Amino acid sequence: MKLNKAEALGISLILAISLMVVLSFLPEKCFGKSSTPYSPPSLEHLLGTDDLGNDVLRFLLLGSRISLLIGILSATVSTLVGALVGALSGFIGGALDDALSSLIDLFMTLPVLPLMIVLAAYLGPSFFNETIVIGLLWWPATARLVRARARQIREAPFIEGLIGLGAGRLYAIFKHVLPNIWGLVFARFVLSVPGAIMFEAGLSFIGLGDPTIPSWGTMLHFAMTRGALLRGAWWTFVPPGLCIAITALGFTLVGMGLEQRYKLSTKPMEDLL
Amino acid sequence: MVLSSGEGVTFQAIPLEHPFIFWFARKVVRYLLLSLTAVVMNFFIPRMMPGDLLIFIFGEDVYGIALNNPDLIESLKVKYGLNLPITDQLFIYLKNLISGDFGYSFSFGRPVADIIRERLPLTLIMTIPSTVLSLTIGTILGTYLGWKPGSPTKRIASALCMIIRSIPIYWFGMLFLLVFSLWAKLTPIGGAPPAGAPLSEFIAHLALPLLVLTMYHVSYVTMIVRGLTVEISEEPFIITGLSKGLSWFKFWSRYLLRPSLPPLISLAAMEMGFAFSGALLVEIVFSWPGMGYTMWQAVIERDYPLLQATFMTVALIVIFANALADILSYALDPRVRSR
Repeated sequence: MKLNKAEALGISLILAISLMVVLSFLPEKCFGKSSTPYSPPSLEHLLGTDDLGNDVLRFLLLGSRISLLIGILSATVSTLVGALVGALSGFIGGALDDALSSLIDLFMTLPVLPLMIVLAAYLGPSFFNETIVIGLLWWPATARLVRARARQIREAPFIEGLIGLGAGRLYAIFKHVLPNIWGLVFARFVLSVPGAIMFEAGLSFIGLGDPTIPSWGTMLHFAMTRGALLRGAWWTFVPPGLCIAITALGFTLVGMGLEQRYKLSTKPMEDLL
Repeated sequence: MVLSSGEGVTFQAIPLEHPFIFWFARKVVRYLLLSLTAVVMNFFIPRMMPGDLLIFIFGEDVYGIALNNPDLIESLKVKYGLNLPITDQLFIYLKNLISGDFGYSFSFGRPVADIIRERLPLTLIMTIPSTVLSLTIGTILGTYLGWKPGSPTKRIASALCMIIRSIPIYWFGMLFLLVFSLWAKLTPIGGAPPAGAPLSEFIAHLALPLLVLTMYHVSYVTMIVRGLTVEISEEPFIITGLSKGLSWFKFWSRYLLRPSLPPLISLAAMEMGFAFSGALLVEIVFSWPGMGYTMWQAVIERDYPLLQATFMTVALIVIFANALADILSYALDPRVRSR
């Protein structure tokens, strides 16, 4: 398998972020001691300090863990839900298909971010809630694509043979339909990660992130609410935003490459936020 | 329907089209159901949550004080109908909504409906121009980038669009605020101008958020239209169009733009939805007191009645935009009519 330039770039961006995760396990004394708030980047604090005198670089590295983790976990949840709903709806058809299709339609039409904000506000800010809210609201696009593919497979001769031999529908779905859409599902998973990371950052930016663990979105939230922005302390908010962009871009490039390999779509980026 | 062909021979066409009125009625029912689902969902969200519903009506502080007085809690439950069966509660909720009663915001100390009425225009004045601008610019740029997409300039431009899409929009806003407001001092730092301020001041406040929002959405529309154009330019009718020797503008409008119009219409509806989500975050950065900033204030204060009303307003507007797009696509896309 030969990588094209875009895929190679995507993979190196993801590797760079993974390196940040590894570095985040460095002991605390490797970073400058807490000192004066808002001191600009220096040799002691490579990225300066925030409003409480914390080292920005250290929080940036810590943030990589949580942002990636929530992004990947909620993308997993959303892909599983989307694949299951799509496969059931497309393969079984009938009244179930009508019901599930209207559900997909409903969630495609409603503005996702405001809905996530409402749910997250009721559930309260926590790691688990954030993952669940994103995962359970970010699946309709996957479901729609999987549904179309499952309908195609349903018409295939080997499925007809299978049903003729007396196989049950659920057996056919799990043993034959899902394995055949595995490539599609995997590409969708990789493409859901940037969306999930953006949503995580967005929710945390609004103040619905887990307050006990730093994430890039939370850093932006504090830069906004505690006045770093208006003080022009750019070192507190430029790096986290840059990291979010790099991660999202990396996963998007790889996901688009996968999509093209599976010849799934010529319209990339269709549902990123 | 009788059509006449070029040779003067008339023939009977098979009436494939559904009458508009049936199609229209079906769509109206569909979108009314969608709106109703959104409203009912809004009703059930707080009721599915753990904890006393009164917390969500009065906020934690007031509820905490009221907790010392069980009689008060009971009488409040009766007053708000929380002791009634859930179907009756839903009925009362819908009745209140129709009469314009959205509840009471405890953090503002005002009826929610008043706040929404005051602030919704501020969001619309940002989202509508941004949607129109980004669709226009994005379509032109997208068809340009998608037609013979190989050249270095076009590839760089497409890559740039993708990079912009990967950047969180509110971070964009923060950078712009830093550069244009704090460093260059070209625009005000944020907020809406006071009532009665001259138009120029209003525009100065609006300019930066509008610019950020539009730039972001231009890149999105451009990516989509570029993809459509790449697909279309492989169709055989493109060769026909080219061989006619039309001017570039005629070729562009008839052969590149027209076939991508139907998907563009549904894109426009989605754009409206995205514009709201985007505006939500941008408003926060620039303290522009529209729906998004209100939603943020509601989240910070845990002002649930206000939060839910802002969500519902945004949801209903987005559903309405989708309905409009559907009607437009009936007019533009013959395939919709024959279905």
